Amino acid sequence: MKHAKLKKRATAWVVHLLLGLWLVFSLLPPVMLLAASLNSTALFRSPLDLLLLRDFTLDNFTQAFTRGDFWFFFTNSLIISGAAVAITLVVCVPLAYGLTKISGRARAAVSYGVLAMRFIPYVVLALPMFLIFVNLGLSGSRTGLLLAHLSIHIPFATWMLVGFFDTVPGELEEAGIVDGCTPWNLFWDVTLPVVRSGIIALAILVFIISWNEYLFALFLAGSDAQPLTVGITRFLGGAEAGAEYGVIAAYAVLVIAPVILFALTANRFIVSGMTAGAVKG
Amino acid sequence: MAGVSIQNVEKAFDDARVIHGIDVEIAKGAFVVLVGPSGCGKSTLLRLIAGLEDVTGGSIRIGGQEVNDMAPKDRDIAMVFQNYGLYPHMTVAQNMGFALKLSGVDKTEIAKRVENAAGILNLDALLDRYPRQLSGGQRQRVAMGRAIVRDPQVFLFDEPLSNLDAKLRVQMRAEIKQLYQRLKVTTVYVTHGRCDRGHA
Ligand SMILES: Nc1ncnc2c1ncn2[C@@H]1O[C@H](COP(=O)(O)OP(=O)(O)OP(=O)(O)O)[C@@H](O)[C@H]1O
Ligand SMILES: [Mg+2]
Repeated sequence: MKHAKLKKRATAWVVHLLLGLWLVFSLLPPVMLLAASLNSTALFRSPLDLLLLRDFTLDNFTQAFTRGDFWFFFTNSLIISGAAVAITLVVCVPLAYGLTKISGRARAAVSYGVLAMRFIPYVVLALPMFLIFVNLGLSGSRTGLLLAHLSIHIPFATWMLVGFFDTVPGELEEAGIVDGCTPWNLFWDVTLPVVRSGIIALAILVFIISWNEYLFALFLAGSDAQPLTVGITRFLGGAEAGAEYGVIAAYAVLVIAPVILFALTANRFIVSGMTAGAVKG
Repeated sequence: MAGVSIQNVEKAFDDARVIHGIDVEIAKGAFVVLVGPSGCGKSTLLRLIAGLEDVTGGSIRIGGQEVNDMAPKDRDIAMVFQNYGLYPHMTVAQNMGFALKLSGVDKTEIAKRVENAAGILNLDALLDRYPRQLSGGQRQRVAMGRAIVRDPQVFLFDEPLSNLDAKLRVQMRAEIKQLYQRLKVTTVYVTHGRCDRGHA
């Protein structure tokens, strides 16, 4: 018995050690980024010096704000990401719900079609989109970039949502039908609230994907619609001297801060089981 | 209250014929128990009466009126589902009042009727809970409460005790019996277990 206990202890230690290593490994880059953004001489110091904030300064942040057109890029990112979330939900929630209502073969065909969009590496889409947008006068506009994002989001979100709706037991809507629901009631009052936390999590995910998107932005944003991910490269040009790395780091911190805040709020929704206990006794 | 008359009803899913022309006459205010092995079409029959499926032959009358082409909500029946089918995002009170809310009954009236039904079923203390916070027997009672607040013409019970343990089953069976004796509403009760039969 004692032996078994000891063995259990040892396993726990090993597991914790591995998890600890993994934590350090995954947290180190962002922590280094933060450290670099808070020191005046990012390149010439050892990582330890940076972490200890030997040359502490907030000057990098001031510069990132004042010299980097931060708010211009921020506005673009925010508008594109926000609109992407709104449109994706408005389009995909009814689409996915409808898909779960139609019969086997039709559903499979549409689902497969939607999913097939995901087989294409999306770099490949950037060039044709660029050509199309030039013709439509959309190149270099937020609308164009938004459309490009939607071409990624809509298949992805539809596929996720079909999965959510499929988890809702049929009995629930049947209870609703007997209770006197119209089709709209069934959708809005019965089924949608059950998958609500999933939809919120999805919305946050879509926002983050849009916020972090770089490739489409590089091809399609021109100079008027550039988001933060492209904006950051402005400082690269002036970096020959190396002095700009602190500013880039500060800028990067500003770019990821909203996403981290978002992800933290998402946690609560991702880990929640609204349907638990709804149906089984 | 009304009787249910099932005349030569048939049901087929594509090629699979499940119900081959049955006749059942259920008198007004009667309590009818249908027993049969799993897969023999008991749930299907209830779903036909409720209007969740369309008959492929024959006719169903509720209170003398043919309901073959009538929408479920116009048939004035209430159904207790095999797995209860409670709305997970609504409290017990909201679950029970939902049908009334849909039909435009005003709030104070809904509250009154929900309270009344909760009193009958010993649910008073649970009205603000969510289904996930209830035991199996309590969920069962909420499902019944949802049926009785509507004061329907006919109750349909689909093996409502199959999810409960033996002891609770005995207790709930007694409660269903009591409920019936109190309300005397036409009831169709479906079960596969021999042990459920005949006691109500
Ligand atoms: N939507 C459907 N499509 C095709 N076949 C169906 C459908 N619904 C039910 N069936 C078939 O009809 C038969 C009767 O089903 P039903 O659910 O009525 O059985 P049951 O008597 O309620 O069984 P149990 O006691 O296990 O609940 C089964 O063979 C089932 O496979
Ligand atoms: Mg059944």
